[in-house]
Amino acid sequence: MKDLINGETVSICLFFIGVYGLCARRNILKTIISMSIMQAAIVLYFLSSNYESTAVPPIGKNLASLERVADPLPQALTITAVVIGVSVTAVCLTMFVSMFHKYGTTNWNKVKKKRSEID
Amino acid sequence: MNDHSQLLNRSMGIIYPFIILFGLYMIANGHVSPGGGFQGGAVLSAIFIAKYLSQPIMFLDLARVQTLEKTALLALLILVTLFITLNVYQTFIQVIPYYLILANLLIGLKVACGMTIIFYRFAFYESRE
Amino acid sequence: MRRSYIGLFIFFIALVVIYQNNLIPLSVTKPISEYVIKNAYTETGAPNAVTAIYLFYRYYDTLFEALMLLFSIIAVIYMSVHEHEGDRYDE
Repeated sequence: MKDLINGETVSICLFFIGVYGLCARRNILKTIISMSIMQAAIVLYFLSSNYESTAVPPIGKNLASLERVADPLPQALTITAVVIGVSVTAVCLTMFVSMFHKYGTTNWNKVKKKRSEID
Repeated sequence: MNDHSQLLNRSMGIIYPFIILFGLYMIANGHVSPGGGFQGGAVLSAIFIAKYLSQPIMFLDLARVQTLEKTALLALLILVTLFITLNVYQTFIQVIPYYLILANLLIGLKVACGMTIIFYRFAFYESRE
Repeated sequence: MRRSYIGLFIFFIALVVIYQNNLIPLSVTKPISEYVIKNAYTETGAPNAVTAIYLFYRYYDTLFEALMLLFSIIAVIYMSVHEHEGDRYDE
């Protein structure tokens, strides 16, 4: 049981919490929050997939002589993923604010109904 | 945010140089120590957030900031393309750290401008009473 | 009621995924990581291997990420212009 509590399991749990938020809730803000949670879960899975507790960071001039070095590839991919996540969240929130001022509700179904009434 | 706190004003005035110094240090030492363009740019954009906390007024020309950001992206594209196509690094390996520092600087400038635009857009255009 | 059914369904899916994740081991050979750790300093002169990856080995990642940030900022600016309001702050 104790070796189940690691980064991968936690990230899978977080990912499915995000999926639950996407499926079961009809609030637009909660949808955006769920997408952010899923993105954080994916980042955590990337970083912890090759995790070793004794590894040193991949910084130094003589890395090949060290015993265990952390994998630098997921770290480099994650840096870009974090910035993209921030920008995607910002675009989502901007679209949400515009839509809220137009329709006056935060519910997907009510937005759909009001849109069909207007058209 | 209408209450101007004297305490906040003074303390933010002290904080600016440290934020700038820390961000520039992270960017310039990105290839030898933890850090780099993305992280340093995010730290640099904290200057304008601190500025907003002390004086919530619009003093930036956002179009000019966006032009700066586009210029940084264009310079980054040109730099990387030249670096790859000219093949200088295969003969002179000493060139590469300078390329890394320059690219990190451009990335940091771009990320700082981007985060600043996003923050000011949200703070001034989306907050309506 | 609908929410709890969805929650139960997703909970069982998550259990299956966690079980599968612990059942199948990851591949133990890491050729890219070993290559980068071995050659990063001699090929790029940068002690930080992460910087060496995102500016030397995989520069397309960085370039298109910067492009994506620019696009998202353009989207933020042009979607937060609202009609019937006028510009409170000059652009």
